[in-house]
Amino acid sequence: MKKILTIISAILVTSVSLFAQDARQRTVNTIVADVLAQLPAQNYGDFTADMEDLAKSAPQSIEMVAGMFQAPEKGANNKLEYAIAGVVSFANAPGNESYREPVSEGLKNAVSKAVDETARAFFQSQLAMLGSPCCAQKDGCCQLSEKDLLAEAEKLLASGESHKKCQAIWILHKVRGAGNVSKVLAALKDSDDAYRMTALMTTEDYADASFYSRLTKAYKSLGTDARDDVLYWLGEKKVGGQVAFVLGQIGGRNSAEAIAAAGKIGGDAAADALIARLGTEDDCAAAAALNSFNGDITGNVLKAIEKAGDNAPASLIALASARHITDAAPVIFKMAEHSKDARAALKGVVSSDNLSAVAALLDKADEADVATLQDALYACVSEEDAEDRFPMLRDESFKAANKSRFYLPIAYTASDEAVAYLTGAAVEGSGDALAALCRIKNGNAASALLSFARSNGECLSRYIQLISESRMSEFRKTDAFIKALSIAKDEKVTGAILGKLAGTANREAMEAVAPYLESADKDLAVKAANAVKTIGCKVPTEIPYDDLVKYFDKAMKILSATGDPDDGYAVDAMKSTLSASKPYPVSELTDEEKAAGFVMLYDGTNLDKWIGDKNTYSSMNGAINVFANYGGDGNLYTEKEYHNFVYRFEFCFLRPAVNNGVGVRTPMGVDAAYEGMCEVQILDHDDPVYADLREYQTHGSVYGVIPAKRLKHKPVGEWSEEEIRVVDNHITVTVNGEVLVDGDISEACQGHNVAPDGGDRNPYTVDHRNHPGMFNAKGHISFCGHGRGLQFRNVRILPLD
Amino acid sequence: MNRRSFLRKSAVGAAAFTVLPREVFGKMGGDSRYIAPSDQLTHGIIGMGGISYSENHFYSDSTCRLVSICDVDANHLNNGVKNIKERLGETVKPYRDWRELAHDPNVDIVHICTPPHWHGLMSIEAAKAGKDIWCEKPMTRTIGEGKAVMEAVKRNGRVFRLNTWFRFKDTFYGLGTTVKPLKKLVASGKLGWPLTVRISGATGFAWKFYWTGKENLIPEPVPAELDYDMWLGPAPFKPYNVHRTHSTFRGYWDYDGGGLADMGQHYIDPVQYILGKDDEFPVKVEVDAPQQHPDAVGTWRSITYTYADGCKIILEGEGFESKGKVPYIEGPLGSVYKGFECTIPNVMNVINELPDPEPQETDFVKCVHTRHRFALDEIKGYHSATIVNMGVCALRLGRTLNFDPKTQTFIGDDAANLLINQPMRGEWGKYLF
Repeated sequence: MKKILTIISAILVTSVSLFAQDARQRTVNTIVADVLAQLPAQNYGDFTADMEDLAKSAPQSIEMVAGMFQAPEKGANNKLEYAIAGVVSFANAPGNESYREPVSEGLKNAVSKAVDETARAFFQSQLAMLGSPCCAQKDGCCQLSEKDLLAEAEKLLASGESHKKCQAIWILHKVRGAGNVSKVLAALKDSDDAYRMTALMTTEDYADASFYSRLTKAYKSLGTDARDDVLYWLGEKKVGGQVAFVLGQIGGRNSAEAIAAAGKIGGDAAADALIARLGTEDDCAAAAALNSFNGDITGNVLKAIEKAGDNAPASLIALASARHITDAAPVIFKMAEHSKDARAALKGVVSSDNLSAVAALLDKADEADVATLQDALYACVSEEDAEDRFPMLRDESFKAANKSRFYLPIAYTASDEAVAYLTGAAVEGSGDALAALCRIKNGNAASALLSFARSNGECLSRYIQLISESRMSEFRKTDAFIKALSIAKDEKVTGAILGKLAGTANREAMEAVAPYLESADKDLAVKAANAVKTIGCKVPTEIPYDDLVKYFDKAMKILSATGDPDDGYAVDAMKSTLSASKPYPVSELTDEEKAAGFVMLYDGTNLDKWIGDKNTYSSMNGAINVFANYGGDGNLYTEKEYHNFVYRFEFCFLRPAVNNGVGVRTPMGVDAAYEGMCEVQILDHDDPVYADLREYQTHGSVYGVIPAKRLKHKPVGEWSEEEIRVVDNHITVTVNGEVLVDGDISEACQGHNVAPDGGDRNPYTVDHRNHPGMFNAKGHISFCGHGRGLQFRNVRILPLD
Repeated sequence: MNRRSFLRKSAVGAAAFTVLPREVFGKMGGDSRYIAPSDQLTHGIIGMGGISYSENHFYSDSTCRLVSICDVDANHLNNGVKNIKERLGETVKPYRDWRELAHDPNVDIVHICTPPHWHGLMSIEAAKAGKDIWCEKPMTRTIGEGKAVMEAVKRNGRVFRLNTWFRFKDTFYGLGTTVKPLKKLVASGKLGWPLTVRISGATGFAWKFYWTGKENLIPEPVPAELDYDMWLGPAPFKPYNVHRTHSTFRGYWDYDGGGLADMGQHYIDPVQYILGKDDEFPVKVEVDAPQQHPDAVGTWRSITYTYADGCKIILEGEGFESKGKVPYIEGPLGSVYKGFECTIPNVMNVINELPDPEPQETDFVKCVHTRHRFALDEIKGYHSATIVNMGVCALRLGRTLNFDPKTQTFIGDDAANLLINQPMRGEWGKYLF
């Protein structure tokens, strides 16, 4: 009897807990099911809400979730893993301490009841995450007495092994601190490099002026390598107090290291000392140290140049140039007549004052100096206002005998005038002008380059580069790359263009790259496969599904064969894209619609009931796809004309900033917003490009006549349902069940669809324009395209006449 | 006297040789006749997967010969021996247990080319064995391991190089320039202060979201060639699935952390240098992301780091980039964009007038000889790795974390602090000290 009672009470306890309810009267069962359905949470708010639900019903909820784990071969555990790891993370967040105990209890039970070792290990790892952090960083030294440590250090030193001696010096440093200096100084006499450097490093905490002075006193007794170490260290630590000592070593056996250290320490004395070493056997080291010298050396360099005059070493002149010391220009200019080094240095010191003089030098220069002087010539104008540079250089070129030498500096101005000027010269047959055109950083040079690209590979490469750097729309770039592809001759350029096309993912790019999947050149086929993958995965809806399958199959074959791990990821991406992009099923009228008399205008299969531009509106993958280019006038019209009706359809934005509209009672080939009764706007008005939108332009608005209530659009890629009901002059627009417009267009403009005075400005409409077609008795219903990236499906109509 | 104390005597000679262009040695066919073997350094590579074949590791020349390799996959190991024989003409000693390579007396420098969950332990053990270390990025996968590496390198007097190089070499991704002019521009003060750095597709940096993991992995038989227990090492035991290992390991928190952990140090280390914050840490990290799976790495929308002085680093996930023209570095007085486009007029003239930044020592072999610090050493590496790992902690927990730069722990968040020092499986924990 007693035994039975125990069992019964056990059942009671279990049932009580299972049927425990939360504030919303949900049982633990329901809570767990609700949470699991929403995982993984897409943002922090959802996450905390879900996990709070689980944590509040712990430990039962935890045990319940844990009890659902299966052996991996038998079913998916991922949602359960999100739930358990999520609730543990939640319970461990600051402020949620009270949940830790029940969650922990649930996990402990889960560990004992786990279905297999994998699940058990998972529960245990999560349980560990509920512990408190341990201090894992133990320091072996701390547990030993000072005496033991010193003994240990002796033992390590005696081993003679380099890294053990290094350990020893750290131990000694730890025990003795600043008292270890004599050991450090002794270590510097050791032949072991690592040991010496480590010894120096131990001094970082306590090193002060007196330490450094002991270090430099000991210097004399050290070997060459150890002296280098000391100098390096004084430089690393920028020991200003020892700069005189460091400078004293310049010119000796350790000169290079002393010079490097002096550059890091800085100061006037160091600058002068280093400048004095230019042109000596330390030239290289001194120049390097001065280029990155710690502090301003302008005055020192100028003084030295003036003093040296024609005898100034090349590296000193180069330094003045590199640091743009313009005050040195007159001296260097004087030398430029006879010194090649000075000519090379001009570009760093000249200004517009020197323009004519440099131009004259360039005009009569030897061929070998031309490039240098071209740089110098552009440097003369580079600090002028951008629009002044071209005319200044052009005017100089007019005075010159060798005009073509001025083309490159002119190209450096990157101005539109330069593009026109150089294009003109190139057309007249100047090779120098064409070479300059290839260097110009101005997108407007692209079209000129294209005209030369057929016979000149460099022009083609530059054309491609300019297009890809330009701020053109993606579709214009695609057009440009396709043009380039048609004239590319070698595989390398073709491959590069395929890569660029992949960056402008759209239908046309796919059609251009796909044929290269068949290329006999293996590298090219791989590039094509990668491009097909990139485009297809980015815009699968723009590609007919059967084509996508065909292209991807081929691309997967090519990429699987490369053995490159990243290509494996590409194959995975194509597989998952394919499984997610099956065509939409055929739409059917609902029973209620059938009964009411609705007619299906587009069910996903064909555009037979439509007329107009069926190129930019095409039926594909079960939807009408809009490929109209921005600003294009391609429209799609119902074959029949209508007066009163209920028009229903679904729409989906595939790209941001979509713009389209539904024309009502409109003739063909005109602007429905004015020549038709109206246009009901379709617009992704939340996109930042529409920040300055007027209220009568938002989605659902009767364009220019009745503003709509502002709709919050679903994310790109999700479908919305829209209904437009037109009865005489009354129009009602409903999206996803929300009424955006419900009004009379005649009342909205007080009957004045056109200005009473016959003028262009109509004070009665909100857009102040005339709407002559507003009172059309009937007309087509249209989709008015203003750009691609939009799908329609399930279009049906109920005529009300 | 050990091998290296012997070396320094001829260091001057070796340095003279290094002045010769690299190609000259190449034309000698890697012939080491011109340098006595005692002056020549040697290196060994642990992990013969993809990265070990990069020119950073896969070389053998007169300054440093490749003498041994190690892998837990017999195929990788055998292919490695074969490829090195064919391409470098060296006969290397193969190891299955990396500890043997780390203690091989013929090895001076250990190159660590394994997945990140091993980097900490291997660096520490190599330091304790008296080796100098060339470690692939990311430095370590936890903050605690990074600190332990820094200590071990210091205590044993080793030279350490973390392998990412944008602070001193190569065009820095979308910027179209090296880091040097940026460093000078920031140091000039022309952009003002504090600065905000945006690392995003919009500024030319890809976060490689395809490096995500898979949930619901079905256990698979371990291939005969793989020592899976040794592959896992300190990581928690989880049943084998091919996606966990070789090259796709990046998608699992136990070994790495997706694009954030794997590319993060490439992108963030130069920022520390540019901002002059090589010895600083941010004090706060905020994340905007979907909930992360406990095993498989997922995607995120943004991660924002804030320093005590108000400077910020903002990472923008793929598909969540700022719209329009976005600056890479933005300050109160000016901005720099992708392609080094700058709002400061005649920016290159401005930059040229400034002194160059302090020279960086970028010849690792020379550092080994002179014992000077490499341009990206264990201290700077620890700092930038810690920033990445702070982001990983915040992402895994899904919440804002506050960081105390002094103690290098999170403030008031026990769970976050548990991620600083993570437990190691079996006996591996003892190698940490």
